[in-house]
Amino acid sequence: MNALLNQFLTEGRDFLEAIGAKLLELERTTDPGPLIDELFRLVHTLKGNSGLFDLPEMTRVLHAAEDLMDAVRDGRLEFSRELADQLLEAMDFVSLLIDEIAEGSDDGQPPRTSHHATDAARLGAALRGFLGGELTATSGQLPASSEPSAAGGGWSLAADGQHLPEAVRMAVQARLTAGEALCWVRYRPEAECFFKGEDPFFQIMQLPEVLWRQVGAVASWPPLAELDAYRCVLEFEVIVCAALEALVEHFRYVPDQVEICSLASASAATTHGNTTATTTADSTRLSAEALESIRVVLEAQREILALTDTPAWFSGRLRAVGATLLGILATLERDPVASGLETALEAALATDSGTYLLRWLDHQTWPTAHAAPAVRAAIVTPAPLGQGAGAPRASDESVKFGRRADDQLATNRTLKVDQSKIDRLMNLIGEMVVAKNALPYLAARAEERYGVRELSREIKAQYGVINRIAEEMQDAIMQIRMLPVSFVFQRFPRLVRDIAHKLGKEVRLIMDGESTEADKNIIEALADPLIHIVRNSLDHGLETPEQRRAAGKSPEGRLTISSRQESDRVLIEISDDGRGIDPTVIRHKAYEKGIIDETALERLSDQEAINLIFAAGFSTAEQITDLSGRGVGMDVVRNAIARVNGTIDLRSRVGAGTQLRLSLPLSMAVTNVMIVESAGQRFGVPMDAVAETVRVAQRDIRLIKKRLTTVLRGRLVPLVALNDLLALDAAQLANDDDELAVLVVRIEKEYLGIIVDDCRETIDIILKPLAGFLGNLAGYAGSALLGDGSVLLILNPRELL
Amino acid sequence: MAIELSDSTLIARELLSVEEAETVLEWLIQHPRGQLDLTDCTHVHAASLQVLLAARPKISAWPRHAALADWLQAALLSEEHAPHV
Repeated sequence: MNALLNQFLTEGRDFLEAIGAKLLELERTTDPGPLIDELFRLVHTLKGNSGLFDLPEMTRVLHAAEDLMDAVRDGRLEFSRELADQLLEAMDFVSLLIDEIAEGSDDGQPPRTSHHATDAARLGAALRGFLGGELTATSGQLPASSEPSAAGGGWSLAADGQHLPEAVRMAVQARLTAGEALCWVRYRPEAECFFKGEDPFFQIMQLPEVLWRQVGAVASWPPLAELDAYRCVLEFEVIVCAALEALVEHFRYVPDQVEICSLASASAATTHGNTTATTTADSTRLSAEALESIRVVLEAQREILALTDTPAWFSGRLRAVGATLLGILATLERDPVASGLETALEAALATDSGTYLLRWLDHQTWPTAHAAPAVRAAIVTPAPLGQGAGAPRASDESVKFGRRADDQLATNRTLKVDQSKIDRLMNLIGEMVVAKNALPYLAARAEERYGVRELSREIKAQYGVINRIAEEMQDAIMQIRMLPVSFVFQRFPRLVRDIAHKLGKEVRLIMDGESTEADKNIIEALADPLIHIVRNSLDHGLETPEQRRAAGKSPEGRLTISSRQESDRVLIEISDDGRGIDPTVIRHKAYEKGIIDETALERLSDQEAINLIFAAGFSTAEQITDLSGRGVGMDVVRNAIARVNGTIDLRSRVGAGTQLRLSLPLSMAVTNVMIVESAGQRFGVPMDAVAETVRVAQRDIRLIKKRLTTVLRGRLVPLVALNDLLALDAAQLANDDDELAVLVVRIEKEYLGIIVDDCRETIDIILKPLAGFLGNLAGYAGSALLGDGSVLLILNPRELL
Repeated sequence: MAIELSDSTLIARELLSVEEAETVLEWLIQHPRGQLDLTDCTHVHAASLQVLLAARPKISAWPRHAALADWLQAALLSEEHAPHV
């Protein structure tokens, strides 16, 4: 299904729900004004949306509903319960269409809904009926019942065919005898149709095999001088060789302007003569299905009357039969008094026996139906016959949708789920991952401790399967939680515009990569820090136009916010071309505020000095504004980012601008780490930092300015021993070939080799940040529980160095 | 322009469109005896069609397009809906 249609269906259901709720609310409220406005807006939007697709039936009903609401809104019409009922029924119809479309559209196109055309016309007419006045005139032309063939006065070959040329009549007769479907069509385009871009003649020309045609005017032709070429007065009458359904489909945009009559059933009238005039008149008007229904109901009445028991409610039974038969007569448009039904019923009640009614039944001529068994089965099975009292209603009355809000089983494709449920799922899958990781240990124990290698292998194979499923599950849950960064980005244009205006600065905002997706938690955690960063850039970074001109830059500052995905991280860059951060100023500020001491003042590099703005209690603004600069700035930002395992990186050049780069995980559920061994302990290193693992021979390691280095693929890579970094008093172990295991990590595009004793497997873990007293420990990203119950410390290479 | 006008004949080429209905009407009012040449005509918009029906001009050449010719002949040659004038 194409995305647009999908969205329409989803939104449509929401709209319908809202419309239903508003209608119900309207019945209770004392101040309907705002509700009616809202209702009109909803119906109007839904109608507009439906117009995007080829759904004339839906648009038609909604259009009528919209007109009605417009009248109510303007006070031309009083809101009433009947009106609400009619609107609710119309919305039920739309809902039915939506369900049908959702089920039937596999190829991206909505399926044809033309079989609902008559219902649509009926509902439209009913809605417009409330408007009264001139509009009822048009609705009078609408086919009043569900069978288009019964529309208007109908047309029969016997009666109306007399003025046909003899040759045409013969041809029609021949075709009908041959079993072809013929229809008579009268098309009276509405007067304004040319202004709607319609070409009725083209529509008529498109009809297949026309046997007879006649083109005229609805009234007589006016004198030529008075003719308005653009007011349509045409009337087309044709007999075509086509099925009724095809014609209804053909004219589905103008159902109220055509009358279509199937000639197939009329053939009986002319071929079999006029033996039973009433019968044939009935059968031409009713479908085979309706006739079969009547037959079944009559049959049931006979059975009831033939019952020999005499319960206490016998008279009630007789009355029920009488009511049923009355209903059938009404359906057949016969006069109940003339047929003597009431007399028979009275006699039956008086004698307390069904004989009179049975006799009456036998004396009536009932239409004969030659329905296929399938039709009969379809009619009989769904409703248990019982008294059968309600059944005749089904015959030719327009079928009610019977879809009130309480009895519809909506097959909604979109679920709205409480986030906590998804979170629970996330936690469960996390535990699943940990539990799964216990299997390799089990396999190892089976082999080493119990010496069953076979079993070990089987456990490993099973582990592979569970691993695959767990990963897929994890992926699926992550997909559910993904949200585009535009969720946060969308508020920036306005924010930037307002702030820039307030500060008297000219700023151009450039945004890029809004469709990048990340976990909902991460996106949400990003919102506040990002706004803070943008405010900082506007307030401290970008200069006023005068300052910019003086510095030889264009007066318009540029703020770029871009995001992109890089392996399993989301990178967000916020850069401006403002004045940049001066490390000297930062140093002195930090010293004044007592964040650093005098020795640090001299020792700090420029980059380290710039990073001081992330220190707690640091603010550089000369004056406190209401925008930023209250000293709760960048440290808050950094903590917020760190809370979701993100990192923040700041680069700045004086006079050229500042660049902040946020790197965030796509999801925070599970982290992939590599296990390394050093000094008999195991540590984890996040895989996103690991570039490669290599074995380096001792002799290839050189000492350059007291630092270990080696050449790797033509590149000079500095080396550090993990034991030194962690202050473990042991030398790194080499293997038998005198080679050292080196874990090459990537930090800020720089490569660094960490010498370890051995590199082991990679595993998925749930990273738990170090808390409490351990929280201040630098160099560790956190800890994780392993499958064998031991705790693994996860290193943070960046902090370690 | 899809139609060519002269004092005696109106020649319609390809489509006698909705825009031309007014022009045709004007011309037919001014030239009640004018003739229509529809040889190359492939479709007549309903608006133009009703002008023709109301005016009943003499058709000097019916369209080569068979279906259209059938329709126009049925519309213009039938006697029972004879025009007022």
